[in-house]
Amino acid sequence: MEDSQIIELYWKKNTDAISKTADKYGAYCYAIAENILHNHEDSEDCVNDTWLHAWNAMPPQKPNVLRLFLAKITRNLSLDLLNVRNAEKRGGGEIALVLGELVECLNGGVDTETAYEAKELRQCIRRFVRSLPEREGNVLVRRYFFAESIADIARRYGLTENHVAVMLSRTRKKLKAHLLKEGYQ
Amino acid sequence: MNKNDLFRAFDGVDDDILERSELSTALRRPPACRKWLAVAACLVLIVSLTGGILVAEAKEYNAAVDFFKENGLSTEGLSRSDVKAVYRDITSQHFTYDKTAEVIERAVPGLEIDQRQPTPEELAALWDRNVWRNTRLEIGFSYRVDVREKLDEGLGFDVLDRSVLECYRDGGLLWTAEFPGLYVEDGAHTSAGTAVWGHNDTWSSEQPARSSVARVDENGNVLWQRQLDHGFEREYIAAVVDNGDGTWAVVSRGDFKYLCLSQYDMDGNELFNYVTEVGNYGIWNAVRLGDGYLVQLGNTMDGETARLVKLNREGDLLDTFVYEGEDCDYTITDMIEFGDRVYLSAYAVPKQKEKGGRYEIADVLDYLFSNNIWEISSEELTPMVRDNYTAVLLLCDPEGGAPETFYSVKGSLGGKLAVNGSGELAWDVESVVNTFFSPATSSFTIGGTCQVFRYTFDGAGTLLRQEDAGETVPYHR
Repeated sequence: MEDSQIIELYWKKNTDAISKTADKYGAYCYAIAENILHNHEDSEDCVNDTWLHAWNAMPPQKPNVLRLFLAKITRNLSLDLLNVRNAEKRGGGEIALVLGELVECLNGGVDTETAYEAKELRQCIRRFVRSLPEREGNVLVRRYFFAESIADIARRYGLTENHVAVMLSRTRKKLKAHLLKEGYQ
Repeated sequence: MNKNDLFRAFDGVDDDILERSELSTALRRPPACRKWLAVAACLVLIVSLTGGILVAEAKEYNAAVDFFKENGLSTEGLSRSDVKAVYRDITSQHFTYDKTAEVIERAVPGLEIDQRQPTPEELAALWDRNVWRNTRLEIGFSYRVDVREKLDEGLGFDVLDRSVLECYRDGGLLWTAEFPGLYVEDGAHTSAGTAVWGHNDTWSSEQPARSSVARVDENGNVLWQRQLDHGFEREYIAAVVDNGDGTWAVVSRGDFKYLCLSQYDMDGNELFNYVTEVGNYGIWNAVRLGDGYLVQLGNTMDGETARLVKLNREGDLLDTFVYEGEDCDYTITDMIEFGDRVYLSAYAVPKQKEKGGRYEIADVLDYLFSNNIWEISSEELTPMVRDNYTAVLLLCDPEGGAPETFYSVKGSLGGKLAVNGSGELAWDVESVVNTFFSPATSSFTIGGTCQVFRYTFDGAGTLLRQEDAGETVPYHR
């Protein structure tokens, strides 16, 4: 089924939207979650949560690229869960889960100032990545958007792992300079 | 701001860049039906069919039957319309009808090259090698680039210092050359030494991306280096083609949508250049074709893996070919000019109904996911993957670019083409020998190993021998 048809199902609040999305992008989203969480059950949970978030987001949203829209939801959910898991390891125990659940009760989860700053930071990153040469930009987003391993990136682009590592190191230095220039200390 | 904030901020990256980053995966896309079970040698070549011939149906059928008899072809299993279609296909030398391949395969022993299944001992030996490393020994001329960087105190980060290019012949080092300030991308051996190309170092979108071409003699001396300047903000060289008359054709891509052809003499003077808008296609390869050139354009997101354009010496776009079959799609992996003809290495996969995802293995994945299979042995998976692929060697004549004949190898992918030290054409065929299912890996879902078989042809295109090259290459989709 074409993406536009799936989005149409979401807008009509037809529950087939979720099964169609899961069929088409289940493996894709699972791979992103697994890259971040390295845990099968957690990754499956995140993917299932992704469908729920997509259901709540459409309407009003109408993504241009459904796959990437889902990818963004998955990676954010995965990161949230990773923080919870890390907190548990640090001794957070059940309270970390409780706090995680309580976040859902907050209005948006963050205050306005933080949300504004986050939006500005996203714009800053957007400009930076767009300014990069194609190959450097590709390698950077595979690593820091899709959370792929250096070995996977090297295979994807036919480079050596060392080459990818050097390229990333160099791009991180550029990013640091860019962030400083934009006022991020 | 902490590291989590920064990680989340990558959500701001534009979709077109995220999509672009997915292009370089070896391949793509999702489900259809379980067609892989029935996939066979559907080797069809469509070369812009135009026009048609109206003849009396009976007359054409009779002529077709006569043709079959004269040439020892069998009509077994063919309908009346199939017989006519195959007849038209062969006599017009277009080879556009899918049944043509079957008829020819039955009639010409050896056209389909036999490739035995690997023995358990060979599989064990393959496993012992580190299949994740590219252990291939290059034949003919090959190049290896080492990029050196240095800290720029003013900028506070590393910038390019120089590229060191090593030239090998049949695996032996011939020479080394250094290129200060140039990211060397590749080199090509020509009758007048080696053509080397690359681009400058950039760290800001305000800096234009400039490409340069250089000439290196047989001892590794850099004779000259010229920067291209055709008015683009970003220009990348895709290939340098030896014209055979003391000039080089430089094929470059400008601002992601223009194809630029420039001619250089052996003193580094640009004789002229011509720019054609071709759209958002990468330029994947280029070879000389008669008095002009055959250039492969590609866009993996759109499934364009076998689009060729024919240019004349002046850069005018004369024709466009898209190689595809009724039931299969082609991916051209390499091209070379040899013995006055152009050879294309390619592989065919069953045509899928939908785009997106991991296109080539969509039916295999559909079967696995539909049956909730998350673990599967190589013994079970490998035959499914092998059934999906057919390596194909296409030959184009120097004038029209149309194919004259082809070889095929089932269960394999067409690999590199090269001229070996004996002046013979070597075609590498990558036979899928083991696989593993890895649904949790983002960059591929089925991985494995291909054993490289090398098929050698003489100048007339006759198959001389086939041999196990003793090499492996990874398979990832």
